[in-house]
Amino acid sequence: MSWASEFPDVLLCRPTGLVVLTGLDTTYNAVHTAIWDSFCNNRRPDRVPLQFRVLGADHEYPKCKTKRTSYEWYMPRGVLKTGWMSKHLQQVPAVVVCFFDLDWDEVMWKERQMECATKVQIVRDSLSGRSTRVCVVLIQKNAPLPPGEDVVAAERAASLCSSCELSAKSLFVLPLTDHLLGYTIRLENAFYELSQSYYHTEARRVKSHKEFLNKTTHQLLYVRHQFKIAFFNELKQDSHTALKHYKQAYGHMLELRMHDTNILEVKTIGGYINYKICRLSFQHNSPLDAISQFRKHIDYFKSRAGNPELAFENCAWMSKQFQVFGDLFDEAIKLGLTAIQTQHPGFYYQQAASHATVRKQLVEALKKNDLHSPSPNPLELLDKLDFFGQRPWRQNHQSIDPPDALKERDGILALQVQELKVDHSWLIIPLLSNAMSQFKKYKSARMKRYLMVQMGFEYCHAKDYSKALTLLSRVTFDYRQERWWLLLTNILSTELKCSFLTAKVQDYVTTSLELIGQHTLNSIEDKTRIQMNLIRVMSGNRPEAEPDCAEECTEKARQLWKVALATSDPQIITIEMHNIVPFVECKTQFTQSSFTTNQEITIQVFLRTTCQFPIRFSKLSILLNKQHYHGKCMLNDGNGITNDNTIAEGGDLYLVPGVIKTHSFSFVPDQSDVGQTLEITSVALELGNEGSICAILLWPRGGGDAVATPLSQQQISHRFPVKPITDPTDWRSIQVQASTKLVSRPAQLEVTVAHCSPCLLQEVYQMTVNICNKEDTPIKGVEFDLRMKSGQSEDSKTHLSVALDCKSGAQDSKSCSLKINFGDIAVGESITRDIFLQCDDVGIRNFVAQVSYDIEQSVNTHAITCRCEKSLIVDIDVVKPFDVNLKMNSLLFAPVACIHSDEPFLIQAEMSCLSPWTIEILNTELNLSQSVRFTDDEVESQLKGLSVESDECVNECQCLVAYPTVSPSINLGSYVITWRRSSAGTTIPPVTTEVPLPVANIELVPVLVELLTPSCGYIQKVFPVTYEIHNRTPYSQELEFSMDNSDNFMFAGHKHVRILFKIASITIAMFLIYFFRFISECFRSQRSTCTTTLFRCSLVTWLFLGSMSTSSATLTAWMVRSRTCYPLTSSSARVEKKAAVEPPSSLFEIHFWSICILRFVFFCK
Amino acid sequence: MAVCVAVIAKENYPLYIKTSNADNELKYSFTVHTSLDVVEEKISSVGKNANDLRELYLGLLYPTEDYKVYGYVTNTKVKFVLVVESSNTSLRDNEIRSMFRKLHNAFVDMQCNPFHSPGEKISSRSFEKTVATMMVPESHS
Amino acid sequence: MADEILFELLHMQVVQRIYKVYRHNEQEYGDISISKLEALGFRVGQSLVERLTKDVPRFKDELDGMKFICKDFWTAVYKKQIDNLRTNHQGVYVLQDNRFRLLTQMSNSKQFMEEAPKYLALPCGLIRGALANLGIISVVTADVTTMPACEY
Repeated sequence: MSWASEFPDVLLCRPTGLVVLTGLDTTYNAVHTAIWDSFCNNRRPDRVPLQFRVLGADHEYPKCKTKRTSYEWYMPRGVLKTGWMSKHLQQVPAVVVCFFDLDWDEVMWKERQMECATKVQIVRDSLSGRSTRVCVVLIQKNAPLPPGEDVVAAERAASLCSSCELSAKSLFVLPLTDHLLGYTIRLENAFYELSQSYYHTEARRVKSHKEFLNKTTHQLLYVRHQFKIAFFNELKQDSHTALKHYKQAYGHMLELRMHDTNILEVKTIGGYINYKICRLSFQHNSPLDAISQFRKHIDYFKSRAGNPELAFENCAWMSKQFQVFGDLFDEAIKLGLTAIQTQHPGFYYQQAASHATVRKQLVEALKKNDLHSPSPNPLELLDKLDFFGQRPWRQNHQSIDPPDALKERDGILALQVQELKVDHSWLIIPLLSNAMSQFKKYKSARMKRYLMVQMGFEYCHAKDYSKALTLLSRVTFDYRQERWWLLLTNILSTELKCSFLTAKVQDYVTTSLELIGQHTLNSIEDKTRIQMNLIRVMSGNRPEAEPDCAEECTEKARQLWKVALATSDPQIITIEMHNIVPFVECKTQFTQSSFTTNQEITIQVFLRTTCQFPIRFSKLSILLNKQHYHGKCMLNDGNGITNDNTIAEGGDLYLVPGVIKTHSFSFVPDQSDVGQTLEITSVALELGNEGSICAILLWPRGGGDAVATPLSQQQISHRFPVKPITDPTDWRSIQVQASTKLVSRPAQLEVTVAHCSPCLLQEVYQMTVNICNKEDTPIKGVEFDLRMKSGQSEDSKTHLSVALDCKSGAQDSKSCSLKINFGDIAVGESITRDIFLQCDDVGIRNFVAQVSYDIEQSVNTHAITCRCEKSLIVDIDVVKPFDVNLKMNSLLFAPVACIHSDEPFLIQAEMSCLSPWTIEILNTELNLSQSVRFTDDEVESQLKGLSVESDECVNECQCLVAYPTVSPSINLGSYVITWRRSSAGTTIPPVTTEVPLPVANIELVPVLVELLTPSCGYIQKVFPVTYEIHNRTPYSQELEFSMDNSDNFMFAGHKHVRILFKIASITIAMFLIYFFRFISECFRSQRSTCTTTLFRCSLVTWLFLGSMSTSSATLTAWMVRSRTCYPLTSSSARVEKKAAVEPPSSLFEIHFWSICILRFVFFCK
Repeated sequence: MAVCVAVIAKENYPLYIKTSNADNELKYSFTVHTSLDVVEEKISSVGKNANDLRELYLGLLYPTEDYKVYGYVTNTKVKFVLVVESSNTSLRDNEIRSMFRKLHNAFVDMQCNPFHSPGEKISSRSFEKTVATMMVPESHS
Repeated sequence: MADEILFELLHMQVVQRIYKVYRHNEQEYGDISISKLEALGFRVGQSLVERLTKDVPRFKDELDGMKFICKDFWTAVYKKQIDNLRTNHQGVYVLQDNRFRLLTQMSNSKQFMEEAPKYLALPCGLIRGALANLGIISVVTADVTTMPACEY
């Protein structure tokens, strides 16, 4: 009954004032066309809300009715005429504009003026009786002068006005200049003002009727007049006043008495007014007003359904009301209104859909009666009604009882027949889909899903089964997830029906699997029926029809099934079980969390069905991540699925409901899979025959419960993972274990790596590997593998070797890992090997020693060769064996910072042993560079053959002399120690450690003083002392030296000499010293004591050469050399610089004085 | 009084649904289920609003043409949903509140029953009795 | 006072009884017993929290729930509040009770330190059950440093 509830376009549109333009020839005149275009094209919202039409000047406008002077005898025949709104929107103009080409300087002014006046008069005549405003626009070629300047223009304008009976305000000029649009807009605004005044007068005119009305007979007119006033105000764009009057109209309408004959009219008009009110309320940004008005409206009319035979009409009306309100709401939101989750257009669309559904149900009830359209058709005049919402067969009738009962009957019948032709599903589905998108927008996922379900049902009803199926299958997952079984069952049942009717085998089987399980809440009979059907399908037969399917659809489905099942190719349907809640559950477990390679791997499969009666599967297979085991994890039921349920029990895969069936698969692992994880990727259970039709039920991983227990209910604490005991009768206690580790068989070997840690730096370190076979059988292919632990850098400073040849082995194979093949070892035997390690760096080394071997084993009569492994970690600490401290000393063992060429000095090597082991020093050697030499001809290591224990310290001293050189520092060479740890056998090569000697700074000394004394002196005997003074400068110098007196001795010789000191000459100063007494105390250690004397020598003049100036200024000392070669005694001289640097001059004097310390050893006699 | 009483577990699956009329069970189930959207929204929006009352009673979830759906959530996130006919205007907010209280008390008592295991469907007789007092046909005071 | 002591005595008996039952299972008997006690506590905690939260305003967040455990829940079970609640705001909470009732009866020294875990299994379960029912899936461990204080 859509016509009664339709909203006419004139109601839905936004009313705008109508302006008629006459005198424009838009077909032939280009100027006029341009003017017209500027009015009607590109009407953006910022332009005034007017509607323009071009009509001829002589256009006939609707006749104005004669004014009624009294309403006394007037009986209104309806509320609102069907044509009224469109009349005022499209036919009766508010303003008529006469365009006229006329310039002020027109030559034929009089004639043209007459012509214009005539045209205006024609327009006036055709508008007879209406108060439509008329105005004239002169189209002029010239731009107007500023107002007041053009006297002719003013004069002619006045005369034109008077001849056309126009007010001056209604005459406009449109110059044809570049700014046409600007002028148009100004004209438009002027027209707009005129139209507003027109509509204002109209509204007042309608209002003025009010006083003639009385409440008893003119109730309808109250509504009508208020509506008209409101509408005129709307045209005037005064929406607030309009709203006020619409509300009044609505109020008057509620006062109308309603009865069966006029209920449709009241509701129709009520709907219109309500629409206007809501629309304007939204427009005024007061959505709450709109909503409450709508609620009131609905509440009022909900219970007023009218004739029960036409109840569908009411539903249609309600549905429309909701839909239109939803549209309004939605539009308001698009314009910036914000809605909330509990108040948005979706609810209205949904409600509209629900009313439409009720309407559909009512119509379905009608269908049962056999209805025939009566003739003549009482609805013939349906499109030509005078008033909105009236019955076509009794228009204008306003009394309570229908005028003709028979006609009324026919009319209702005709309405019913017409209603039957409507396809309601296609009305409902768009509403649902609208609602759906709204709910989705407002975060109501469940509501959206519900609407999808409803839509699915509606599609199903509309016999679009495949669409229904797609829709429904998209939501089942969520219902399953949230465990709303009742809802799920309902949806699935519909899905099953749809899949049956479309003969979709896959969907049919999948849905069946779920519907016969324990969680779905359909009746036992249903389950039985579905299971029977499932078995039928799986054996290649057509299933029985689902209940309440239309006969013709069932027939069609039969044909489809025939085609679907007749294909010669085998049909394999794969169903992922984790997506559904099936009637058969599966759990698998590896019996252990890890298996050794000599064990058989066992997988247990538990199957349970929860259907009504036993079912036979055809094949069970487990898919592992290693494909080569697949063949071993397969179980075939030879019997095949049959309709006959009485087949002999005890078949392999004959599952009785509620009874857990256990299968185990055992197989021997492949040796190559050692160390890897074996996982069950999926479990496949086949139903049906692979040759024809077959469903593969696929569980990912190891299967599990059909419904997972919610997390918060899991009581097992994570702290104490006590493995529950699997009870094969209690399904819940069965745990899924879908992966296992394959580990190698534990080795029965004894492996030791013996060594004496710590290892010394650079030493060839011996380690002894011992492997002992503790197995029951001989082992083969024993391999020993030693490598640095992963993570440690493979440095080049660690070398491992199987140094069979001790001399070269350690040096040759420089690698961090090593592999030894031990071959076969008999039972109980052991093999020992030495290996050697050399490290060039200190620190801890971690080695992993791994022994692997093959052993013959038999597992369940399978003879297999197992590879076993044993590994151990060897930590070796590498330490420095000793510390060598090399020092340069003067001959008096005083450390020196620099040496002087040609003057001997000592190199002292101090070696302190750091190793915990005793070190045997085989040899030491000084490898001198070319700039130094030994002072002695024959040099022999003083440490050779010594054994040094931990924390001991040995010293060696060699006397060296440097060749003259110009470079400021020289490389002395290196110190080489050859050693080995004393515990090592002679087979171990000794280690050579080379330590670089310090770099010596060479200083130039101008004078060298050498002291020559005998090794010892005797009291009261003459002790000859000779000083040799060498001139090292390339010049002659003046030299002065003196010998001071001492209490301890007297001497003979020059006390004070001053000589010329020639180039490269040696001056010898000889003294004979006679000691008076012991000058030294005697120490127990028989070490040194000393006495002092003063030998002073100074260069009086020193020829200075520019190039030597810097070095000479820093010159500080000279050496006194003793010839005495007693190892622990030596004489030394300390020279102190007395004078600092003199001011730079070409000649200057440097004074030296020296204290000569003589050391003597006295032998106790 | 109520035409449908439902208890929903914290994981949003139904623990208990009772309708006054068995024929409407499916429809009410959908109603209750869809109301969870609003319940979830209300729960998740708690705390964002400082002056939130933080009551267990969630108030009117949403009105449809024919029913009003009220919600209540315990601290353990168990939801109670009451569906009341819109025509029943005599019911005040306070009465709805007290109905929920009663329901909550009954629910707690049942939870503390050693023979009930949490998270399972409710089949307690005393709970059933409490619910019966709130349903339309049994008592209409 | 009898009613308060009753709970403590009952608890001790429960612990002993459970340990006796699983004594025959040599190697794992400690673990089994503890997990049994924990499960007992879990169930009790679940029910208890249902009852205790009945008249409490809705919890805003996890911390709210935690505070509830420290105050109302603890008071209901052990007649005192938790002494100290700390959190790293990333899901780790430390609850500290300086005078834990179930341990005060035992010792003030370190004598029975080794025995303490089995008396704490049930409280652990209690907390876990309570939290689980509040929608907080948790792992609860107890730690006794000095008797009778203990931390969760």
